[in-house]
Amino acid sequence: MDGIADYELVRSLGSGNYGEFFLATPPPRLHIDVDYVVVKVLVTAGSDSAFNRAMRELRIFAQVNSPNLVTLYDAGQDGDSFFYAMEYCSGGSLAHPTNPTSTDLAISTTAGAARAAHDLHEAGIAHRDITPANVLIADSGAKLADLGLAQFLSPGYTVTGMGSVGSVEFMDPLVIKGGRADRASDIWSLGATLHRAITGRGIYGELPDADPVFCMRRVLTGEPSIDPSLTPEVALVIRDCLARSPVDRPLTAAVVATRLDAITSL
Amino acid sequence: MVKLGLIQCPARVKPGDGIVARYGGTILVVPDPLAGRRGVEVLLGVLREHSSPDDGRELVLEMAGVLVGTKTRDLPAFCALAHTDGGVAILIHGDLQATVARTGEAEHLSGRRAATWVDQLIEDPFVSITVGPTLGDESELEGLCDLETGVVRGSGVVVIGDARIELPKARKTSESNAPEPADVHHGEPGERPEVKVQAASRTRSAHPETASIWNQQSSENTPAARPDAEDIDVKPSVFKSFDLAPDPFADRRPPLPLANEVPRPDDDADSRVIVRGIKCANGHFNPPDVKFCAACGIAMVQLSHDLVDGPRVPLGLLILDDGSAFQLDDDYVVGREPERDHKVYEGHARPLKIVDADRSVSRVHAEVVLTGWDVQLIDRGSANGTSICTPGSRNWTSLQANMPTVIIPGTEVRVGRRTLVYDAHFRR
Repeated sequence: MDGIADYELVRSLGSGNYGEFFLATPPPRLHIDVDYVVVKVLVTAGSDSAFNRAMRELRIFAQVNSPNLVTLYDAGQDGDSFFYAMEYCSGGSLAHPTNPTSTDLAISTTAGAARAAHDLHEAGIAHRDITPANVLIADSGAKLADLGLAQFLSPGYTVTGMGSVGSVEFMDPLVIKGGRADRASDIWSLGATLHRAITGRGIYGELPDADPVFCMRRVLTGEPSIDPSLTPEVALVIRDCLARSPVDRPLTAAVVATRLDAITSL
Repeated sequence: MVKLGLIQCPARVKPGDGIVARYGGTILVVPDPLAGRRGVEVLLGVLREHSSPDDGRELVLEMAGVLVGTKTRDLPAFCALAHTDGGVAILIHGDLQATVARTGEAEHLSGRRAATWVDQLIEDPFVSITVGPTLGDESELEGLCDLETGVVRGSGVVVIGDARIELPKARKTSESNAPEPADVHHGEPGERPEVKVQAASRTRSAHPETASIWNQQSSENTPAARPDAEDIDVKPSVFKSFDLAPDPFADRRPPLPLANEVPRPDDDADSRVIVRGIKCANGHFNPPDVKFCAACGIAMVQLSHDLVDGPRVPLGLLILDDGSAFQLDDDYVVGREPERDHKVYEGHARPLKIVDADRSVSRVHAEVVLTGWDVQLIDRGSANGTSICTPGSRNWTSLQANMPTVIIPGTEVRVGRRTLVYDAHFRR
């Protein structure tokens, strides 16, 4: 990729079949006073109505007033690509923190992401792509980044393969099987994200990047297992988030946040 | 609404050291004419010759001819605008920008990253076209200025369109592959006229080669080509930026339902295909020959196996070798540019786009068609063919072009040098 719109790309932050993230410097036309933004570029093959649906999700995302959501600066189209620019956090993400994270920081950061997810849910949209890479660590607390738009731009596109093949471990198996993304599926992702952030291990063990079919079968047929090193309080929250049936999970992401906050304040 | 056209649009010249010229239905901006004075004289000559109102395409063609016939370093950066029926033709050569403002969106065109030039047809209505630097103070006097005819000094120009006078009316795009506006068919509330105009122009820039106004041969229905060395995609550096401000009518939604509430009716429920199947003890709909329910895992053996009609549930996934996966609840056209296939742009199949740097995958390579509970695979006459390997076998079988073949769960599918696997949600 040799550029997108009028952004000066600094470096790639990850890629997949359909797109790539970049660290970039913002163009003057945005009139924003930041050094860097994250630009996500998605190759589109969808129809205009699919494109309009994706734009509508982004507009709703942009108007949700939540201290724990990243700011969306810009969205547009360049040739065959759809792009959007978001706030960049120098603290990194739960997947790649700039400084090592303590268990308490992982919990409080995930709690912040859960509050952001709740604010999105109350505005009528699901995030669809909560992973450690999308939970950012900012000076002001946690920031939930990005939004799963691939399913809007290309209907039927269930797993994006963005980042790594193993990122499928953060997806609710019900959604992989064609179910609708909703509160419960984002809550599932919050549980899987917290488990990976604290223990460094996935709920299905290590998934081999080289064998996507094996990964998928493991995720669809295996039961998630909770690492025994977790404290009983944290393990219980994660286990509830990962309940097979949505009605057995916490009813809202705000409940998840409250329960996590209660753990760190002990 | 009276169409003003470029001829009658006010043109406000931005002060500066370059040259701005206007004759009839044409405008030329050369911000740095000293970089190639002789070239500027040629361009001004072309401008005078083709100033008649219905000559816009001719002018741009002629300008392109000048560019082809001249060593580009002898020509300074320039932008030409010309009146055409229904809009304005624009051509940009070199490091120069133009911004087309429409109601609710702005489109940026730049010649900076183009090897030759960038061209586009800007459809009416637009709010304004700004050529040259957008910075600089908007002088209060600017509203009084208007260049009608002649050559003056200036760094750029702002052409005021008629969208400011009257909001655009909803209208259908002339392009056959653009879908109907969403609210006509599906009753989605609040799809604004602006969005439709935006959708129409998006289709154009998504296919720059078909949008080009002097290059009318269509490549829409080109069959899948040989290892597509010949299709060097020249990407003009045209991009659009959209307004993120919420639409108070279209963008307000109720909160998502709680897990213990009645879910909202499924958007896709009406479009799902009705098939015959069996229901498990918990009421989940399954294919007639499964041993376990796909939804709850309950054994199906004791059931009476009464066949009932029901909406088909997703059959499984197509898993691409990079880990991305596609839900098998609809037909797909597989390829490097599946959006070119008529089944995709007519809405009969979804695109399964494979980004393949090697070009071993044809633009339209294969097709996946769901019939009943079966998955059929069809090679669409691809250059490098489609082959399958059934589970447990080590032999790859090439498919005959355009002959549908039913594939069973676990089948590996090779398209060019890329691989897909059909993973079923059901255990039979």
